[in-house]
Amino acid sequence: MFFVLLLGNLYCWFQGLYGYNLSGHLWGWEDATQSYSGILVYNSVGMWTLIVSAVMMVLYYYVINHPRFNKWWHWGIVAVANSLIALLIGWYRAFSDFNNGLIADSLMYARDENGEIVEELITSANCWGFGMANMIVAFIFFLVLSLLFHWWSTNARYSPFVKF
Amino acid sequence: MKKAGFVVAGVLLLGVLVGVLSTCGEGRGKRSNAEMVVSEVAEDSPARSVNLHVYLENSGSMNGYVKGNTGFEQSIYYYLSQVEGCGLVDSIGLYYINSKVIPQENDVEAFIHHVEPADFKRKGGDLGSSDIAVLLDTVLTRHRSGDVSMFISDCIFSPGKKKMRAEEVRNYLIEQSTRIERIFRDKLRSEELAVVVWQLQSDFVGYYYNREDEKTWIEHKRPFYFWLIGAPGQVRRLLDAVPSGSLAGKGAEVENVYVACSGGKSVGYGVVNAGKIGSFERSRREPKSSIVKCRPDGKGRQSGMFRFAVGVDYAGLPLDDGFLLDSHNYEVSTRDFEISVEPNRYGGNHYTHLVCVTTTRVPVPATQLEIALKNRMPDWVEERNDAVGVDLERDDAFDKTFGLKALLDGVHAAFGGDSAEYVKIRVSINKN
Repeated sequence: MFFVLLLGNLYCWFQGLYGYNLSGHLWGWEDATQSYSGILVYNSVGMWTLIVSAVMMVLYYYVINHPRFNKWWHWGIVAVANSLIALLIGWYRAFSDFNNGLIADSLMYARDENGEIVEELITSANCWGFGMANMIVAFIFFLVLSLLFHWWSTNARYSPFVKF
Repeated sequence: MKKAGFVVAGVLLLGVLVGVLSTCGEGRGKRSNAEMVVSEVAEDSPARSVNLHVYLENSGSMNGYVKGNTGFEQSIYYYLSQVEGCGLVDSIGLYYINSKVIPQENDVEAFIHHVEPADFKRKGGDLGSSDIAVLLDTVLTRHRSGDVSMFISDCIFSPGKKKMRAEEVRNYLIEQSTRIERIFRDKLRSEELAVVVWQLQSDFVGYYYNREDEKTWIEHKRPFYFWLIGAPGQVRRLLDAVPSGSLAGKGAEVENVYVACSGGKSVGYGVVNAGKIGSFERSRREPKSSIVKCRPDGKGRQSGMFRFAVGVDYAGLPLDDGFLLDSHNYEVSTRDFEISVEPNRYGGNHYTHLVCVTTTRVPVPATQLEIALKNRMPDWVEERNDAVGVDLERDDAFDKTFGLKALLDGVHAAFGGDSAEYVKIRVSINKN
């Protein structure tokens, strides 16, 4: 269970960027069961982000692996590209659920006693917020993967970690 | 060497990440207490049809209710017609009851619609006096599991003894109350029961028999009572099919309701997103019964106030809104929180009511909050009780019933008294 929840718990560090209500949806909240019994979106987004980060890492250290592309800012360019892709992944996943009405009503709207909507609790801005959170998570993934796997690169093993 | 050091550093970083995440980690997918309760209720509520047995007291004190075309007759006729037509009832057995049970033809119209005192008399039995405890004992003895028994009576005790002193009257009522408690307690040993008592008022033209069996001619509205006795789920379904409010404008209207229910019923409940002031998050481990990060409202008129709502599914309980919405019937485990109850109009879930929990304490106190719906005797029983039972005019007791409190006290005690609880809701309130 701990590992099932690992990615979601990582995202919850940055919940302030996209809010509790969207977070509830990403944890799989369903009104019908009044529990987190739906799809755990955090895991699917997190896994895709991890895969993309791994691909970008392999691309930088082992495919490009070029002596003129091994400075710390070259690593930075790839890290930023990875984060931008993650921004779009996070935004798209949240926005498609938002746009398709897949988010539970109790998370989407505050209603008055007559059932009339008085406030929208999730807007498209929250979806961008989740994209930004995913961007940060992608950067962490890329950093950790780089730390672990840069050693076997022939030309970029000291990028961005300088040789002491 | 340096390479190994960096690999170790990378692994350590990953380890720290995992470790820190565990502090944030509340499990998902664990079954909460509240969820378990829901499934219990589902199993407890089989969709069974009802065999209804209707016992109408026809002793002499009831004659005034059937002289002419009265609200008494109309309301019973309407109710039984609705029950017949709702599709819930398999069969209806009709009986007059006094010293004995007198089965009637299965014809609601002949049973009550065009009945006069002479018809009551012609049906036989000992019409001279009625012992409420004996009548209830008879009804409960004949009651079979799965049936719903309906008892209609003026519920007036008849000691029949002349010149009773006040102390003797008190002792007589205590004795009756104890008998009734024993009768119901014996029945509750073998099955779960709900008892719903409706108090109605009807035109009454006839003799009123006081506690000494002295008769006085009155033409006035007088109370009478519908009792529904049966398994809680069956009674609930009958109440849903023909609610007390449906009698409005159909003869005599239901003025007051008393309900007793055995078995400490389990109901589904869960913290909902609706009706909140300030902010909180539902715990992922126990989303229905645990909230975290509770923060009061920071601005405006409600600044410093924190409120959340617990949705409760009372559909399985035979309790009416008058009782369920009265916050005095609830007990809260701490004075830091106040509660109010409202029907759930927000939708989005299956809960029938919202129990709203409010505090003005800052920060919001972390606690294991317990809210109990108590089996309290409603105030109307005392207000509509005639403790004297001699002269309706002098005692201003036309709308009261002699011995009503003793009668319902007996029932109430059998069901556990004021200390019994219908429902207990537990919500864990945490700061982080």
